[in-house]
Amino acid sequence: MIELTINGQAIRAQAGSSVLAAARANGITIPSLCDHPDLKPYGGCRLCVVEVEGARTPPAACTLPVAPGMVVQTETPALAAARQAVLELLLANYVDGDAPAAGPAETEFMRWVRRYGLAAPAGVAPRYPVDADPNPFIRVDMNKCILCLRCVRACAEVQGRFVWGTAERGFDTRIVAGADTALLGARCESCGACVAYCPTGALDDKLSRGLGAAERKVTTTCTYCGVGCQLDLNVRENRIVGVTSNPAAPVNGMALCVKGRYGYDFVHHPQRLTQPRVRGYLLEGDGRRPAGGSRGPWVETDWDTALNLVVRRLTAIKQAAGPDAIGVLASAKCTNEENYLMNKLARQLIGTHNVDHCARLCHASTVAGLAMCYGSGAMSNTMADIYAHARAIFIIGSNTTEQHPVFGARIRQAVLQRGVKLVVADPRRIDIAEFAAPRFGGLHLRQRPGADVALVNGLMHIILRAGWHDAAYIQARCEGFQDLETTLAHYPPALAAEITGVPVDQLHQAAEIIARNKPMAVFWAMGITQHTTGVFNVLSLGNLQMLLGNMGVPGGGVNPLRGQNNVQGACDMGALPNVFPGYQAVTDEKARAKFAAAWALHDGGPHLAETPGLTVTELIPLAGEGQIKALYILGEDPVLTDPDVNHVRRCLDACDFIVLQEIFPSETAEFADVLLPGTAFAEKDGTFTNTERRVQLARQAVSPPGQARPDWAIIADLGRRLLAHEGRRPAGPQAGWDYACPAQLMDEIAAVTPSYAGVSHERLERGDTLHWPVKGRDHPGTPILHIGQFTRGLGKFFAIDHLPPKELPDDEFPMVLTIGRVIYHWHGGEMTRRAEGLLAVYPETLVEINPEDAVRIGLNGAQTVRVTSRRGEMLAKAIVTDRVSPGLIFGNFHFPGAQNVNNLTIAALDPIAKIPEYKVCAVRIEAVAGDSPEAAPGLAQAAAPAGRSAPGGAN
Amino acid sequence: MRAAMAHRANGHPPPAPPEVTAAVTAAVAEHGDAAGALIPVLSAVNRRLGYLPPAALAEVSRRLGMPASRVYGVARFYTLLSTEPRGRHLVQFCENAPCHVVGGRRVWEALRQALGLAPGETSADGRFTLITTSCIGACAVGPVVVIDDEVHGNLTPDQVEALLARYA
Amino acid sequence: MQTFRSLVLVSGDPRSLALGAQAVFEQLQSAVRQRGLEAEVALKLIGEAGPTAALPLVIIYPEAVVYGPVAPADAADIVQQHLAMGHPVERLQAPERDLGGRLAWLSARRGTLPAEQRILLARAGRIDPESIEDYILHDGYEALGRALTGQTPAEVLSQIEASGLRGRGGAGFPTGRKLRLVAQAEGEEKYIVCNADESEPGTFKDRLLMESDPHALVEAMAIAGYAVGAHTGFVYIRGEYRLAYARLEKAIQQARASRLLGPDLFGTRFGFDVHLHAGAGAYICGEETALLESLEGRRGEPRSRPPYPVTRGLWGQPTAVINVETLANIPPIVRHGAAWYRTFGTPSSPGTKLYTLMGNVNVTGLIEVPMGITLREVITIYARGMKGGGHLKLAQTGGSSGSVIPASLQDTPIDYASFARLGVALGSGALLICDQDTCAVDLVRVLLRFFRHESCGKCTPCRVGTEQAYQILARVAEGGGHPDDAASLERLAHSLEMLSNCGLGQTAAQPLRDLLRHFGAEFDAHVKLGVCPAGACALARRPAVAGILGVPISG
Ligand SMILES: Nc1nc2c(c(=O)[nH]1)N[C@H]1C(S)=C(S)[C@@H](COP(=O)(O)OP(=O)(O)OC[C@H]3O[C@@H](n4cnc5c(=O)[nH]c(N)nc54)[C@H](O)[C@@H]3O)O[C@H]1N2
Ligand SMILES: Nc1nc2c(c(=O)[nH]1)N[C@H]1C(S)=C(S)[C@@H](COP(=O)(O)OP(=O)(O)OC[C@H]3O[C@@H](n4cnc5c(=O)[nH]c(N)nc54)[C@H](O)[C@@H]3O)O[C@H]1N2
Ligand SMILES: Cc1cc2nc3c(=O)[nH]c(=O)nc-3n(C[C@H](O)[C@H](O)[C@H](O)COP(=O)(O)O)c2cc1C
Ligand code: SF4
Ligand code: SF4
Ligand code: SF4
Ligand code: SF4
Ligand code: SF4
Ligand code: FES
Ligand code: FES
Ligand SMILES: [Mo]
Repeated sequence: MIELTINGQAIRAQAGSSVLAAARANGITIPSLCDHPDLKPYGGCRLCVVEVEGARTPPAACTLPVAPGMVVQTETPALAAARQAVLELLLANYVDGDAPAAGPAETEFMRWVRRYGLAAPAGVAPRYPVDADPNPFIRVDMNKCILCLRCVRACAEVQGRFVWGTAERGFDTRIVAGADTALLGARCESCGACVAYCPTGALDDKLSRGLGAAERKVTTTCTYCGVGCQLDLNVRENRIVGVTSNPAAPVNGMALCVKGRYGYDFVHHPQRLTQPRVRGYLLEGDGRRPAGGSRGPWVETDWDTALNLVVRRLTAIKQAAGPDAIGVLASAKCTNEENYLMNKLARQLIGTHNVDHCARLCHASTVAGLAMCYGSGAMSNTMADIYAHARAIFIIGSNTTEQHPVFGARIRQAVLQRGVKLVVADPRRIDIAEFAAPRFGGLHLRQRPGADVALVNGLMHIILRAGWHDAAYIQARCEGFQDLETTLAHYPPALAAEITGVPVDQLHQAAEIIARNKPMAVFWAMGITQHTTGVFNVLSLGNLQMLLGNMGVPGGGVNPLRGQNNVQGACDMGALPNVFPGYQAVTDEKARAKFAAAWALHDGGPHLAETPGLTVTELIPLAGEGQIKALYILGEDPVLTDPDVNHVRRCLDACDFIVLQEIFPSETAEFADVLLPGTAFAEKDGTFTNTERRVQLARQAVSPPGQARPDWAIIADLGRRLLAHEGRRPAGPQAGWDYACPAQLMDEIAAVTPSYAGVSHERLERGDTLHWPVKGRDHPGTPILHIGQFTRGLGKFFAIDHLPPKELPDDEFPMVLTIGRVIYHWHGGEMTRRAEGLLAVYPETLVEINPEDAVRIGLNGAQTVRVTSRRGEMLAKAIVTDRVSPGLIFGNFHFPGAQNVNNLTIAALDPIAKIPEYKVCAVRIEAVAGDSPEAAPGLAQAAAPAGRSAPGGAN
Repeated sequence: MRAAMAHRANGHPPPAPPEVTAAVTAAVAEHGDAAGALIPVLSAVNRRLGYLPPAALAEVSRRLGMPASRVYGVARFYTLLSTEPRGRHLVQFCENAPCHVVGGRRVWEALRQALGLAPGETSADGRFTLITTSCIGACAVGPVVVIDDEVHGNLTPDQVEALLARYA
Repeated sequence: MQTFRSLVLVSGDPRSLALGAQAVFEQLQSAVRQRGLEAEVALKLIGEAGPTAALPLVIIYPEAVVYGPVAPADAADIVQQHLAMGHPVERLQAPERDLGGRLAWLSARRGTLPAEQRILLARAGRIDPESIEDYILHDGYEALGRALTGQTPAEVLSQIEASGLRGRGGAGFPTGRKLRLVAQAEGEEKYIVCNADESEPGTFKDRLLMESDPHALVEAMAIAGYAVGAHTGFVYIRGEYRLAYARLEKAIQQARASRLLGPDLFGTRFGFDVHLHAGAGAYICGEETALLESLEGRRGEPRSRPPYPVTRGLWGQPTAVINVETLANIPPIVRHGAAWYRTFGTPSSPGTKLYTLMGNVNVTGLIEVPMGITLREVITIYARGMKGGGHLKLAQTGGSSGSVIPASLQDTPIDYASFARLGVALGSGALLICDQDTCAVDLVRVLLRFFRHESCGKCTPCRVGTEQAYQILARVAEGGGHPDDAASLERLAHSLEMLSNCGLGQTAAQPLRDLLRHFGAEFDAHVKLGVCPAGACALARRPAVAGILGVPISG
C-alpha cells in the first residue's frame, strides 16, 4: 500500500495503480477520456492531467503510477484551462452529422464538453465518410473519433480479435479495421465491445439508430448460451431499442457476443405468437384428428378454451393409457421456476417421470459420467477462477470462441495476458486453435472424430510413464487407480497415434504441456459428449484430472461448458427422468418420500414411480410406435434439432396429441395440436443458472405481445385447471399451484432443493453471487466443487477402452460428417433467423469441406453440394477450407428443410446417457450442377483479404 | 450479401502471388519471424517489391502470426514503407530547415515543375514518384534530393533537369 | 602485415559519394594498377575526413597532402605525378581556407589553425572503417580488454560516473547515472540499446561516427553491457543510413569472428553480442520509448513515463538507451580515466562535443570541440565566416527540437548549463547558421511543418496542436494573418509544452515561443503590414493577397 495525498485528502492505494485509478477508488473523479478501468492505460487524450508537487508539467493521471508521499491536485484553474484546451483541440475536427436528431443518450465525450462549457463548432467539414462500414450491427463515423483508442484496446484486450488498429500518423492518424478493409473482412466477430467502449459514438449500434434514446435500462441475463452474460436491455415505449453492457455484470463485465448484444430483435418479430391456437378439428364435432397427414388449420382462440382443451385431452389419455403414455419436455431456454413447474406438473399431477429436455442431446453424458466418477455432474470451477489461476487449459471438443464466445475471449486473454498454455484437441482448426500455437507454448491436436478415449488414454499413458502424475493426490483422494493403470498400459503413444491420427511427437508435447503446467483446467462440450461413447469420453477426462491432481483446486477442474442459457438450471430443477430437483434420485426411497410429502394431495397422491422415466431420445421414437400418446413440449424444436429428423417427423406425426408452448410457430408447430404463446426472456422474471452453477436473475423489460403469458403463469394455470378438473386438492406444504410471482416459486424450490436452499430472488437482487450448492440463507455459495473431497467421497477411476463410433465410412458413404454450430446462429435458428443482423451476416448453411475433397468431387468455389447419408440428404453451399481435414465435412443445423444436417445424423445412443451420436456419421458428398449466383469470385476476396488464416496472435 | 461472403471466404484467403511469397520468405529467412522482426521484414519486402501490396501484408501477417491491423498500422506509420505502388524512381526532396535556408524552396519549385507532380504523385509513365522527406543527414551539402538510394547535394534549380535526365 | 610506401585515402562519406568519390576511387585504382604500383600503394575509401567544402578529398600519406575537390579525371594526374614521380599536384591541392581546422593531427602538423580536440573523431579519416585490424592498431578494443580483465563492473561504472559524461542525444542526462539505474534494476535480462536513429534535421554526427569508426561503437556497447550486466545490445539505426548500416554490420561480423563479440570475451565469463535493427523512416523513433516500441515491431508511439526504460525498457526489461556519440566517449574514458576526460570541456559539461555546421556559412560539416565554445567562435574559426559577406541573423541550435536564437546570443558558451539558463536547448549539436535573408516566420513555419509531419499522433496537444500551429504560420506567411494569431500560437505553445506526452510535442513549442519572443516585430510585420522583411515569404512578392491555400508549400 502506498500513501499519497489527493486534493488534501490522504489516500492509500495499491502499488502500481495509477493516480487516476486511486482517485476513482476514493470517489474522486478526474476527467478522462482515453482511460477505462477495464483497459490498459494509454495516456493519449491528456484530459486527465493533474498537478503533482515537484513536477514541471502536469502529468496524465491515467498513466502516472502512485508514489509514496505524492501530493496531487486534480482541480485547479490551470488544470481547468488545460482540459478546456484539450477539449477544444478534440472538438476542432469533430463533426456529428447526426446531431441534433434525437439520438441516444449524451456520450461520455459530450458530457465533458458540456461540463467545460464548450460545444462542437459549427461548419466543420467532415474528413471521413459517414456510416463507412457495411457491418450490419456497427456504424462507423470517424468524424466523431477522438482517437482515444479505446476501441483498439477493447478489441485487443477484451475480445482478443485485434480488428481495429491505427494507420497514418500525426494529424492524419485514423482508426482502421484490419488492413483498412471492412470490419467483417478483418475478422470482426461483431461482438460490439469496441462500440461499448467508444466514448464518442464514432462507433455506434446500427440497429438502435433512429429508435430514440432509452427511457430505462433493465438488467437481465442473456437468453442464448450458458455463459450467462448479464446485459442491459434499453427500453423505450415498451420496445427494446438496444442492448448495452452493464459494467457490473459478474460473469462478463462489458463483454458480450454478437448474439447477446445484437440478437435481441427476435423479441419483437411479427411472427411472435400472440394468441393461443388450436387445430380446428379439436373444436369441431368429435374432436377426432383428420385422417392422413396434416392436422388441419389453426384456429386462434382464448386461453380458457385452449387450456381447458389441454386439460381434458391429457386427462383422457392419462385415464386411457396411463400416466406414462404422456411425455413432458421442459426447456433449457426457460427459467428455473418454469422448469421446476414442468417437473412438478409431470410428477405430481400427471404422475410420470417422463420429463426430460434438450440436456439429453447435449450434456447427458457429462452429467452421467461425472456422477459416476465424482458424484456430481457439473462444471467444477468458474471462469474467473480459471482465468486467475490456471497455468494450462485443455479444450477438447468445444468450439469455445463461437459457442461460448465470452469465455472464448477470456481464454484468449488468459493466453495473451497471463501466458497460460493452451492445448486444443479438435478435429477442426477452430478459431481458438490459433492460441494453441507453439508461439504461445501451446498445441493443437487434430484427432479423428470419435477417437477421444484413445487420445486421452494415450496422453495419460505418457504422463504416467514420465511420472508427471500426482501420486499423493491419487493415494489420498481416489480409488480404482490400479485398473486404470492396467488399461493405460495398452495405449502406448504409437497405438494412440494410430487410432487418433495425431502424430506421436504431438502426443508427447501435449502431455508435457498439460501435465507440467499446473493447475490445468479441462474444458469440453459437444465434441466429447455427443457420441455413443459420450459417458466414456467424460470418464476419461475425469480420470485425467484425478491423475494430475487437478480436482478441487483453484485454476483446475472439469469444466463442461453447458450450452443453453438455462440447461444447468433445467437439470437442477428436475427436468430429467431420473431425478427430482437437486439431483435427488427417483430411485431413492427417501427422496420419493420427501417429494410425496411436499407435493402431497388430499387424495393420497402423488404416486411417484420407483423407476426413472423416459428420455427425449426414447419418448419421441416411442411416440412413433404409439406407446407415447401425448407430448407437452415447452420451448424445444425437435423437428430441427433431434437426430435423424426424417424419423422424428414420422414419430411426431404418429403422436395423438402434442401441446407446444412456444414463442414462434416453430418448425415443430406443424406437428402440434395446441400452440400456447409463451413469453421470451425479456418479458418475464425468473432465474437462469449458468454453466458455472451461478444463479442469476432474468428481469422483465417489456410486456408480452398480445395475449402471450409468461411460461410459468401458463404452466401454473394449467396445473390449477388439472387439479380442479380431477377434483384434487393440495395438502403438502409445496403442493399448491397458486403463485403470485417467480420469487415465490423460488422459495418453494429452495424448500425442496438442498443445493438451492439459500437461493432467493431477494438475495440475488441484493447482488449476491450464488453458485450452487447454496446450503442456506447465509451460505455464500460454492464456486469450486470437490475441495477436500469429492461429492461421492473418493474419486473413482474408470478403466476405459476405445470404441469406434457407431457408423464408420465405407465405400458407399466414404466421408465422415461432424456437425456443430456457428457463432451467429442458435440451434434450429427459430430465434436467430428472426434477428435481422444475424441473418444478414450468415444467411444460409455452409458446409465446410477440405480443398482436397473439393478438388476430388469437382467442386468449384462456393457451389452447392448434396450430402447424403443412409437417413436422408441435405443441400447447402460449400465453403472450401482446411478448417476440416480431408475426408471430414462439417455442417450445422441452424436452417430448416434441405439445409439441415439433422436430415443425415444418426440416432445411435450412448447406452448409459441416451445421448445421440451427432458428432459422427458416414456420408457421401457431391457437387450439384447449376451454381448459385452468389458464387461470384472476386467479391469474397474483396471482403476478406486477411481471412481466418491470419492469426490474431500476440500484440 | 457481402457479409456472408466475408464469412465464407474466411477459410481460404486467395494465395499470394509467387513473387510476393518469395519476397516474404526471403525477408523472414533473414530477419526471423519474431514480433520484433516486423519492421525489418516489411522494409526488406518493400525494397524487393517496390511497395507493400495487400497480399504482401497478408502474407507477413500470417508468417509473423500478427494481426492484419498491426501490420497495416506499421506499414502506414513509417515513411520508408509504402502500401501504394511507386514509380521506377523515387525522388525524395528534403524539406527541412537546413536545406530550406540554403535555397531549398527554389530547388523544390524547379523539381515540381520538371516532374509535373505534386508530392505523393507518380508520373503517368511510371517513371518517377515524388515525395518530400525529412532531413536525411546530408545538410552540410543542402539543398538535397535523394533519388532512389543516391544523394545529390548542393543542388541549384538549374541542375534539376539534367539530374532527372540521368534516371530513365 | 604488408607495408606500403604510400597510403591513399579517398573520402567516402555520403557527401563525397554524392559528389563522385566512388568514381574517383575507381579511377585511382585503375591508374595505380596500370602503373604497376599495387604493391607499393594502398588505396582506401574511408568515411568522413573532416568538414570541408572541397569534397571529395584525396589524402596521401605520409606526406599528408590533401587534394580536393577531386574529379575522376584528375586521378591519372595524381597517380602519375604524385605517386609515380613524387611531385604533389599543386593545382589539385585543397586550399587551406577550405580545409579549416579539420583533421586534428593534420592541421596540428601544419600548425596553421587551432586544433580541434579529437577524442571521438580520433580515428575518423585515419583508418579503414571496414578493417578491424586497422581499428585494433589504433588502440581499438584495448578499453574493453582492460575493463573485462582488470576491472569489476562496479569499477567501470564508477569511472563513467566520475567522468561526468552526459548524454549527447539531446537531453544531457548523466550517462553514469543511467547505467547505474540499469545495473540496479531487477530484470531477467538487461539491454544496451544504442540510439542511432539520428533524424534531427541538421544532425549527422552519429552517422559520421558510425561510418568512419564503427568498431568504436561496438566496443563501447560491450563495455556498457559489462558495466550493467547486459549481454545483448541493439543498434537502432535510421533506415536511411545504408552505409553506416553496412559498415556496422561488417564491424559486428569481424568482431564476432575475432571473438570480440560473443560468449566468454577475453577469456572471462562475460559475453556480449550486438544486433542491428534498421528503422523505416520516423523521426519520433529517436525518442527512446518510441524507439523501443519500434524495436518490438510496433508503431513508434512513445510510452508514458514513468516507468522509464532503465527499469522497464525493451520487452519490459531494464534497458539503457544511449546515443551513438555518448557511447563513443566510453572507450577513451575507460582507457585514459575520468580525470583525463575531465581536462576537456567545462566542469559541468566535461568532454568534447560534436557539432554539425550548416547554413549560410563558408564551411559546413562536422567538428569536435570542447564544450563551452561560443557560437561566434564556431562561425569565425571553423565555419570560416558567413557566406558571401552576409551577417548572422539567427541560429537554430540542436535541430528542430532546439532553439531559434538571435545573433545577440552568439557569445553565450555552448554547454548544457549555460544554455539551460537561457532556456535554450542544446539538443543534438546541430548549428544552423542563418543570415539576413532568412525569415524567422518562414523558418518556424518549416519547423512546424516538420513537427506536424513527424508527430506520432498519440496525444491530443501534439497531434492537433502542431497541425493548427502550422496552418496559422502558413497562413501568416501567405499574408492571411489575423490579429489574434500571436495569441493563438502562444496558447498552442503552452498546450504543447505542458500537455504533450513526449519531447516532440513539448519541444515543438520552443520555436513558436522563440519566434514570438525574439522575432515578434518580424511576425507583426507579416500579420499587420503584410510584408516579409527578409523577403523570403510568398507574401513579400504578393503583399496583401490572401493565402493561396491548396498549393502545397514546400521548400
Ligand atoms: N452460437 C451458438 N452458440 C451456442 C449454441 C448455438 O447453437 N449457437 N448452442 C449452445 C449449446 S446448447 C451447446 S450444447 C453448446 C455446444 O458447444 P460446442 O460443443 O462447443 O459446439 P459444437 O459446434 O457442437 O461442437 C464443438 C466442437 O466439437 C468438435 N468435434 C467434432 N467431433 C469431435 C470429436 O469426435 N471429438 C472432439 N474432441 N471434438 C469433436 C467440432 O469440431 C466442434 O469444434 O453451444 C452453445 N452455444
Ligand atoms: N446435429 C446436431 N443436432 C443437435 C446438436 C448438435 O450438436 N448437432 N446439439 C443438440 C443440443 S446440444 C441441443 S441443446 C439441442 C437444442 O435443441 P432445442 O432446445 O430444440 O433447440 P432451440 O432451437 O434452442 O429450441 C428452443 C426453442 O424454444 C423457443 N423459445 C425460446 N425462448 C423461449 C421461451 O422463453 N419460452 C418458450 N416457451 N419458448 C422459447 C425457441 O423459439 C425455440 O424454438 O440441439 C441438439 N441438436
Ligand atoms: C522527439 C525526440 C527525438 C529524439 N531523437 C533522438 C535521436 O535521433 N537520437 C538520440 O540519440 N536521441 C534522440 N532523442 C533523445 C532520446 O530520447 C534519448 O534521450 C537519448 O537517446 C538518450 O541517450 P543519451 O543519454 O546518450 O543522450 C530524441 C528525443 C525526442 C523527444
Ligand atoms: S488519455 Fe490522457 S486525459 Fe485521457 S484519460 Fe488518459 S491520460 Fe487522462
Ligand atoms: S465488434 Fe468486437 S470483434 Fe468486431 S471490431 Fe469491435 S471489438 Fe473487435
Ligand atoms: S472510434 Fe471511438 S473508441 Fe475508437 S478511437 Fe475513435 S473515439 Fe475512441
Ligand atoms: S456469450 Fe452467451 S451469454 Fe454471453 S452474450 Fe453471448 S450468447 Fe449471451
Ligand atoms: S507529443 Fe507528439 S510525438 Fe510525442 S507522443 Fe504526443 S503525439 Fe506522439
Ligand atoms: S485518460 Fe489519461 S490521457 Fe486519456
Ligand atoms: S535538412 Fe536536408 S538533409 Fe538535413
Ligand atoms: Mo446443448
